[in-house]
Amino acid sequence: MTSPHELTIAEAARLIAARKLSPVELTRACVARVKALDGKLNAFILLLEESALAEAAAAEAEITAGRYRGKLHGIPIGLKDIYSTKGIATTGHSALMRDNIPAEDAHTVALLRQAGAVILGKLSTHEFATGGPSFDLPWPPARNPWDLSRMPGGSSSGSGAAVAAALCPGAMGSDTGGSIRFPAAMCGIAGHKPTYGLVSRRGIMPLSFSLDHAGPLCWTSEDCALMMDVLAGYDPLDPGSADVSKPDFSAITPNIKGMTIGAIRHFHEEDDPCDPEVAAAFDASVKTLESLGATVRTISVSPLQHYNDVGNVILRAEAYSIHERHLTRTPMLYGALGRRRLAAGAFLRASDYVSALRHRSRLVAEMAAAMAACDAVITTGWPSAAPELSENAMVRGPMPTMVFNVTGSPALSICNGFTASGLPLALQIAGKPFADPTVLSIGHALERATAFRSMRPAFATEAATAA
Amino acid sequence: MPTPGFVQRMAELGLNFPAEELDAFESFVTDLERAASFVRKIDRSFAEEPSNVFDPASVALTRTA
Repeated sequence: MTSPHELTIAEAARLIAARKLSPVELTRACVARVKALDGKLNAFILLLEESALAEAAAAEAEITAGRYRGKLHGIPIGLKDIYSTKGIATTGHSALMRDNIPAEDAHTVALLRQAGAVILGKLSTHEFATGGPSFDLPWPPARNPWDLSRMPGGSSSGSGAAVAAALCPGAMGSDTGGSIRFPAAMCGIAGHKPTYGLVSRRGIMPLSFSLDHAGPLCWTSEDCALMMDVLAGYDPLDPGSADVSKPDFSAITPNIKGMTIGAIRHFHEEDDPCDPEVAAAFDASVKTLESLGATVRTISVSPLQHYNDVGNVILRAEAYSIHERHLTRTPMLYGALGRRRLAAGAFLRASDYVSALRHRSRLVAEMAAAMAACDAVITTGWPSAAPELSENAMVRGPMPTMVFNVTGSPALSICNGFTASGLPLALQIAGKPFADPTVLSIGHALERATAFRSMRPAFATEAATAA
Repeated sequence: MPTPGFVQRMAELGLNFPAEELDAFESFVTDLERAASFVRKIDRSFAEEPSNVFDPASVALTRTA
């Protein structure tokens, strides 16, 4: 049998349901992986060994008694350390909040617990989901398991690194401009930013109220769908939550024959030219989609920079409104990167923020019109492979991910091959509002049609063998 | 060195950061102000204004699939 830590959630769930895999055995394997590898990876801020093993034992007892709760029962999950956990430190990876002990779980954490998931630990993030990678915080930045000298993306950096290195089969992240999809892209895994309003943000440290999304990072799109089936739903206590019926995530299928997919090529060919290997991988994925029976058409929307300008003005204005009190009173409790990224919004005018919101409605309408004749659209996941880990690693052009934070559309990043030097490349798939299962189906189809899911980072296999 | 005007603006906003960070901070703010200048220049007709509040339950974000 495959080692427990190498199982996807779907595979582990089948074995657990059939009582061929013990949740305790699976959790022990993950704990051992964290102890063996995380000294170099820095994906975890806090490993919850004792409580995780107790939760796994409770899950095992329930399942043995015939009370199987579903696909996440007994599955270890890591949480980006901006998700509130009752009685457990939730720091935002910041000295400012290092003593913060929430009185309640985030709504999504409560949903995971209700589904029987095992909370394995709290994961590294860029400070308050924006200030990183930083070297002046109480914990070091996470590293990329494909190459420890490179960044794992961010801000859900620990989530991406932990899943790619098989320290846990699934993790929670948050995404305000790409913070689920960027680490998914750099770490060669699947990361899903749901439709705005589909997953509650209650109990998660905010960065930008109208752009923040909560969602999963997993090895496969199928696993993201399994997590979404638990996470999605209306929460009347999150004002951004949408009171709509939950999409059917059990319906995801690798059969995409007959679908029409729009390819937004000008983002990476004209607006912000990407690395040649990224473009070649994008073209290869178009051919794969066509071989699966989909029709791919080139479509155009506003330039990538327009979406980024609107998104950045909204993000920085809302972030400053959240952090102003601490930035003006105790700025030295932030890292240097967090200080400047969170404080920049102070320089915006009120009318800038309103104007950005005004243009946002126009971009939302534009994207809805562009998608009208399509089932989904594709873009490159990120314009390059993972850069060297440094404070300047995030400084580059406009991001293809921000587009779908501005529009609120569901958007998934999947592994789309590797560079000649072995670093992952990514494809982004986005869809119509609440058509998250369609987006995940396309990701699932591509993963099944390619061999990219058969490769794990060498660090994760070699180091574990040595340990 | 940051421009004297930038240091003055920071002080007016109640921001007081270490001197060695100011160049990078001014650069970040300059890029954000470029984005802001873009949104300032966009023309809109008054007819569009009723749709200007972002609402996750608006027509664009209701189920269409």
